[in-house]
Amino acid sequence: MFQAISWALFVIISLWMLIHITVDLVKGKISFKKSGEHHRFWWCGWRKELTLFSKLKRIAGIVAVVCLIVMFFTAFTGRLVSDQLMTGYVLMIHVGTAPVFIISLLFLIVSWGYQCRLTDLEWKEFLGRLKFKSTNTKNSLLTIKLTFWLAMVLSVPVSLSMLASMFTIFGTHGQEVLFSIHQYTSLALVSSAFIHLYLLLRYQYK
Amino acid sequence: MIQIIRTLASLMLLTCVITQVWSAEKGKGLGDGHDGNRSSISHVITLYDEKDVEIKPSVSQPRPISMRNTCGKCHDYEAMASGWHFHSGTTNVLTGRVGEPWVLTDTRIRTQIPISNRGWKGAYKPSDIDMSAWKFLKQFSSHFPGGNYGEMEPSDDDEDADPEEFLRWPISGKYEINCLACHHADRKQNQSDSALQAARENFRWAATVASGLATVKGAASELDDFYDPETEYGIVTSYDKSRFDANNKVFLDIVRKPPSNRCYYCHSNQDLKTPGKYEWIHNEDVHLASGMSCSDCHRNGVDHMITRGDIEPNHNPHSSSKYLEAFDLKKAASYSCSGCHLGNPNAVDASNKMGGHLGAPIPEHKGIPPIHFEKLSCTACHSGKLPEGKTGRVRTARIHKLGLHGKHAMNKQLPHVITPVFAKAENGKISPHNMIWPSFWGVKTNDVVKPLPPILVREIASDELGLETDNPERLNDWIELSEEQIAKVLKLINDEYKSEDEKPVSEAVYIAGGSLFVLNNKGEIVSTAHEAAEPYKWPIAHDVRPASQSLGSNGNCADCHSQDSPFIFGNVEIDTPIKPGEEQTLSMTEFGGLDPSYYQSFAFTFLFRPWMKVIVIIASALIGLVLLLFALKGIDRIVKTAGKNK
Repeated sequence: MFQAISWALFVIISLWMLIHITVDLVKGKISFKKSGEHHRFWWCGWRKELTLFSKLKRIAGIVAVVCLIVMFFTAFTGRLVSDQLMTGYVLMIHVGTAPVFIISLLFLIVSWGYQCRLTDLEWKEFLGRLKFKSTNTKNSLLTIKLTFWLAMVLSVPVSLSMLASMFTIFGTHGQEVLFSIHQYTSLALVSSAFIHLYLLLRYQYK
Repeated sequence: MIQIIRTLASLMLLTCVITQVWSAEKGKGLGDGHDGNRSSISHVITLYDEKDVEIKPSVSQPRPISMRNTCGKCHDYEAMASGWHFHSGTTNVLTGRVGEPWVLTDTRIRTQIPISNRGWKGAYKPSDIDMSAWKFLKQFSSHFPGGNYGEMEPSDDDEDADPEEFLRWPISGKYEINCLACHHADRKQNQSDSALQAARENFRWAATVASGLATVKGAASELDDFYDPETEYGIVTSYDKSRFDANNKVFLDIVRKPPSNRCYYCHSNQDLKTPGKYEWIHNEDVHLASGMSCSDCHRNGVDHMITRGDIEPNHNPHSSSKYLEAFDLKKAASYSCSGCHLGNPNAVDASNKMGGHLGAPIPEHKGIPPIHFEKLSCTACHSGKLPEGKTGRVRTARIHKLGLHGKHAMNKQLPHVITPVFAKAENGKISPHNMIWPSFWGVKTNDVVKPLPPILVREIASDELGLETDNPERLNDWIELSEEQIAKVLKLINDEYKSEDEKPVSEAVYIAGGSLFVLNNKGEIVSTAHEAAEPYKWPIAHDVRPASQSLGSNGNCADCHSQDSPFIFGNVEIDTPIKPGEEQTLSMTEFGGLDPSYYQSFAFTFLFRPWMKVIVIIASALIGLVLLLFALKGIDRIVKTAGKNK
């Protein structure tokens, strides 16, 4: 069941991205920057004039993304290919990466949280979207911000579900429920994080 | 007229015979059913001897009881004989899960061979070592339930039968199934007496004496080959007349469900860490301590196919389809550990689906990730001795002939049964096992090793093995065997197996301590690994410890996931007559099929687990607080927006 849902979700997200990129290319919305024009890490928002803290914010982002990719591959590869749960060294890598990931997320939410607040315009856009009204979305950061908050919200049940299973609180049934919470919230977290990263990169290219 | 009378007489005779046969058939199995009344049935019964003659204690030479004829009057003897305890000698025997074998030991020739006719890996069939039914009884009848090999008397036209055995069988009689060995609740039932009679080759008398109904004088083993049991009385049976009523009937305290005390005679273990005078410190199996008996879980129908607790609701014990055919899975699985404690979802009976038979607590396994239940059997954490740095030893009733009292008591130490060994069972789960290291002289043909009968080895290499030495020195219970001795004996065996062109048709081998020894072209001894040298191990389930003494109880992961955990990294003793004084061990990981470096790394991560918990708790709490902060700000905005709309 989880395997099928995961496949479906990743295929939908990938197709959506492909269509999105194609439309952007056709409309000429993407501009490729010349080498030397910017810092070589421009794609992650790195600029020459950044302060130390700003650099740290970006490093934390990179670390979080790397951790997410590692955890995604360790957890989902076996599950998507053969519906096998991770064991052995793969599990150790996954578990070892988790604390780094959660610390990075903490740093990200503290450092980026303020910038990711919804502005009045975005708030209106958000309310408008909820009412299915057409809104002016040009240069809107709403989806980027929403996926950021969604990923942050999901990180709490993802981490706490596994943490709780390490205590002698839940029995076998409870453990199974916690595991289900972990895998489904992880799937949602990964999906929102991927969409967030895609939109963030797309924004850098614009 | 005479012709008519003759015809009528013949017809009457025929009618009588048919009526008799029909009555006998009608009575057969009469007592096997259950009419639903829970009260026990009083067995005030007539006893019959093997000639189906009623036993009267007052006659001058009464014969011993025949269980086939006495119990068989109301119970289906043949159906019972198809059960686990009684069918192992038959051809196409049911294999079943690997179990405790018989072990043929001869310490003088440093031999211990696991024996079983069930085709278990590592065990040899009696026929492999030319062990006839008679020889089997001579070796193992002390803890033998009867039937099976006990009734395999060679027929008159059996040309392969040993002439001497052919003569001895009628003197000793058949060792019929001893129904009383299990179902007689009378405290007078004494299987040690049965063993004594069997040691005297008084097989016919074993059940009678064990029941306490009679005493027997004389030993079949001392009677000459031409003794006539029909006309001579070298063995005298004296019944306790006070046990018979005026109708020559006897009350036998027969119970449908055997008391545990009856099972114990053949199914006991002695922990050798604290044997003898400190035996009192040991606890019983938690089920028995709570008032249950063995047969509460190990149940059976008339066919006596006792459930072995290995058929779990969701796991077949192995690939033997025949084994599964022998049981009704929907019922048998309800009496496994998980079937009883967690329920059998496939059961027909609604209460069996729920589990909790006889008040079995339904375990919560708090803090234990479910993956453990896929990798480990229930017994891995709950049964046997708690693992220590090095494996311990036990003695078992059948292998070490425990429970023999008086002058025929034994104090066998070999073979050393190593326990607990956490190895992969046939269902792929790690389970605790008992284990012995086979040790024997044999021959290898086309890479297949077969043991040589000990009597043959004794003949071939009497001097080289020092058989004539009185009270040889023993180290670790073994008489030490040097490599020079092995080389000499192997040479002698090779000489024995030479063909006409002076080339040995089979290669002589010696198996011990997990190695196979052969002679190379230079006549030097070489040891190699071989499947035949692998230890023989069988899964164990008892004694079950209380939940609080289980591995991982109270979420103590370090019971197994620590760098010196005996469960994973314990040392398993290698038992061998070669340098027996030296400690030789193998890592437990070898048996569990585990990667030691991975488990070391995994155990290492548990050192950081408390830190990780703290980090994740703090980080999650802070993330939660930040989220709450922004959520409150969002609510603030909603409230303000709502307030602006007058």
